[in-house]
Amino acid sequence: MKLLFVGVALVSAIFTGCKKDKDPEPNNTEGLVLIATGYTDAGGIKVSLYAKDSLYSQYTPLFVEVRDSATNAVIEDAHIEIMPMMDMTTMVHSAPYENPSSTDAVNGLFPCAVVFQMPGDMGWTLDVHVHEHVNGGEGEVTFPLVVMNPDPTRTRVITPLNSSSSRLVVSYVLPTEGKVGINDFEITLHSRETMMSWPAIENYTIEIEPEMPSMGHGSPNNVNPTHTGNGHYEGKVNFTMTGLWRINLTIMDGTTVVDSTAYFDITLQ
Amino acid sequence: MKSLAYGIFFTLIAFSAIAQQQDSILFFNKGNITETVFSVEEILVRPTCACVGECSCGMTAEDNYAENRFSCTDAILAKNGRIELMKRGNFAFEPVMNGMASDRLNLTIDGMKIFGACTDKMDPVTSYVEPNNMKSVSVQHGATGSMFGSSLGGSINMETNGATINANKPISGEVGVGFQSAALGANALFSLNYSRARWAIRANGVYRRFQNYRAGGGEEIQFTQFEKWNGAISAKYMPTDKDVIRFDFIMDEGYNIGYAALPMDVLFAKAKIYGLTYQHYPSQTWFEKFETKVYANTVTHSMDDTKRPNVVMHMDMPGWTKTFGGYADGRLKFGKHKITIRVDGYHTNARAEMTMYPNNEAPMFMLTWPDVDKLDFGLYVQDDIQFNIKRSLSFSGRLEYLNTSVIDDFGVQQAAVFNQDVSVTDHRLLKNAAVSYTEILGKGFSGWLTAGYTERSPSITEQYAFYIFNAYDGFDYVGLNDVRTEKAIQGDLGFKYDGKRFQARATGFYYHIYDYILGGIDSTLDAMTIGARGVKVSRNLESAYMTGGNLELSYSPLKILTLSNTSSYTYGNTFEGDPLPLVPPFKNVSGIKWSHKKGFVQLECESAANQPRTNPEFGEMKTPAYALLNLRASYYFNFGEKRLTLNGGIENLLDHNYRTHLDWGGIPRPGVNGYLNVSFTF
Repeated sequence: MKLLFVGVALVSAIFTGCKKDKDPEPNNTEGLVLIATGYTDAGGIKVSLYAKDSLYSQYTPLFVEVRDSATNAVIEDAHIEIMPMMDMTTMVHSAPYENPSSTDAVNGLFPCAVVFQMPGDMGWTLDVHVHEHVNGGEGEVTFPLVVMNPDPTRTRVITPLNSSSSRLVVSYVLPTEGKVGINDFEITLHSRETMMSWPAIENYTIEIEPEMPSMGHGSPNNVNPTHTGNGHYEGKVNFTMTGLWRINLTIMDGTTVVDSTAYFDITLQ
Repeated sequence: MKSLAYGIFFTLIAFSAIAQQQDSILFFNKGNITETVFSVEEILVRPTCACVGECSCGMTAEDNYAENRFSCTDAILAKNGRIELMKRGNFAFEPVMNGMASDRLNLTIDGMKIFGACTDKMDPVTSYVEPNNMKSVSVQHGATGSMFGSSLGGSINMETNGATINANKPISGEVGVGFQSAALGANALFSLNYSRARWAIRANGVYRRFQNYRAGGGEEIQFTQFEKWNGAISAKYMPTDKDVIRFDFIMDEGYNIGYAALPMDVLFAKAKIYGLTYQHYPSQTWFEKFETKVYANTVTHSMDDTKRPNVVMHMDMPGWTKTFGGYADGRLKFGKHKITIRVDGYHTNARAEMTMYPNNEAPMFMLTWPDVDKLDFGLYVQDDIQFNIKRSLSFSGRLEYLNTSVIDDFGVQQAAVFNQDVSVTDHRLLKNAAVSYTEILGKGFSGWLTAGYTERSPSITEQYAFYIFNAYDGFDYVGLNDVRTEKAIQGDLGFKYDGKRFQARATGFYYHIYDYILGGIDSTLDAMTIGARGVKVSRNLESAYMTGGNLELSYSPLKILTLSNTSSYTYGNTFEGDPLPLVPPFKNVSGIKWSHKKGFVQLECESAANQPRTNPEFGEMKTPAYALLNLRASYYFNFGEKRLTLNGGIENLLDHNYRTHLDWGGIPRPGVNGYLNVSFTF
């Protein structure tokens, strides 16, 4: 009997081992949507931009793939900087963004993120500047983007109560689906210093209060989000049943309330 | 004549002053208290014979029985001085014994565990056995009832009739119809027994349809209607004179049941109950009886708010329980010792859902009972020692192992919101022990003393409720998975005198309860139910106590005349001195009865004192005192062996507008109610 177990374990080990050997390069873009592909103006680099979904005006993780345009080999060591831009004809502005945190690719991709604070069929572009460290090539590519309006709203641009401070961009990250029970809660917070500069706010205090608008009740034992880095605030939100929930936010600079109007809705199926 | 009537009336009022014992008004028909002097343990619904093994008793018609079979089972229970009924509508009341409700009682049918599927307790087990299918109800207080399971307040076991093997009378049965005025109610019932030499089969059915009733003064109480039917089939086979095999099936369905005190009604309530029993009567003198049983039952319950006006949001609230189990017991006899040993076990699953449907939004779903499995094993031993003709001592003990787990991950996630981890299986060992001493103190005069220790596990609601709205106090209830086991030390004392003309029975009880489970307000939590006052979470009170007693007197100065009086009182406090909730006030029933060979006329006065001791945190209202007059009469005609029985009466003769302290929502009980029943036995 014991022998049989050992046998089974051995066979399955060999089987899984073989499988790995056959597929040495797992499909790292599986489940991702290809947004655009292009070649840099110099340096012979092919750049592909992936996202988890079509683009919406929200906090949007993006994945940059870098290849040698001649050999099509994936390059996993590169310095990448991105710059989102919105050309509204009357004015041009940027958006909050996060460059890849390292020159080493993760699974062959360089993760970065943009908070698209407004939708747009036209006008949005993303500049990707690449300096790859394999062949030493360097160049830039600009992708035109289509950014749609999500339902429900996932980003709010707020005029603070003390109008002397800059506008705030609050964007919803988690939970995406949401479940009854305890959920990780995450938002990002940025300020509009200038049209071109949207730095992360790292020292604010945020309180959350979930409620069911049609019932008027909330949920217990939520954990207010605290800053974890790059303008991300993480806490816990609890849902006691399925249906439409509204997570009300109170944003404070120290003890001064900056805003108490922002909220995000989520429907649990 | 008029002055005589007034004289009787005032005498009765003075005699009773305060009181009530039975829940007569609500039901089509009531038994009469004068005739009913209950033994300590049994309420006999119909006379039974005491033969060991299979019997073929003739059915001697009795006044009580004629009336009882038209009543609802809960009404019959209520005639016991220590049982009260908690009312939420006009249907299926929850029994409350010694001031304790169903969470603290064992309610069984032929020893079978059945669990209600309604989170609001709209479906007490008592509704599944109709009186014309009930042989007896055994009522045991506190730890003495632990044969049927661990409980604090005691056990109520309803024994069904079953088929009767009587080859001398192959076909027997009865048909009956009855009407009552307060709710324009109709009852119809039948039973049919067919017997051969070695086997018999019995079918039994009841149909009831009641409309909204009128309270005293004429006001119609909306949402008190109901319709139900109950059918039972029992088959019995005796392969030898010492073996009996019995199969029982009960099906009960209620529809459109109004619950005036709740924000919604019951769309349907359905139960199916199966039992297979084997009994053996060995030839050895030391081995009296062996019995084993397997059983299964399902209860389904669905609420309905579609008929209510101003419903903010439609909701569905279905609930299910599925139970199977079995037991085996033996009765042994060694000299002065009579020993009963029982091993039992059951498995039950309970699940209740709530889905609300807001306009243009996703439905809101939650598990109010998070799919809970309970697995339970028990060992019960009882030793009755008859020292001599006057003195006897009885020991009983029960050890029970209970394993409770939440099997739906949705429920586990839900509970995490309250920082409760219900993914771990809950194990409990429950211990019960009782010792009883009985002595015959003189001619017709006896007394008994019982001391016991009991433990009970929390109910599914107390342990796992997820925002279950309680319409009594207006709070949403949340369970606590590690709420401690409730324990009690209890004592019971009683005296009985059985004279030729005079009978009396007095009992007193005391329960000191540790870790008393009661919901406590948690002001940090938001109520879920729209309009609820807040949230209560289960907790253990350090201790509480309950004490009370009852006194039953019966006096027959003439053979045809009986005067009777039954009164009872319960008092309960928490360790902090606050009144325990839902404790009935002092109550009394007095009766005067003229008997005739073939019938009787009876006038009774039931009354209750006001209950000023309320628990405001529990949302209790003070309940005013009341007194009612009921008039009842019965007469029968014999046609050979067949009999036609008429009984009727007028309840709440003076159309008094009243309610009892345990009634939910301050809703008055029915006003003047005339009833007439006709039944034919063959």
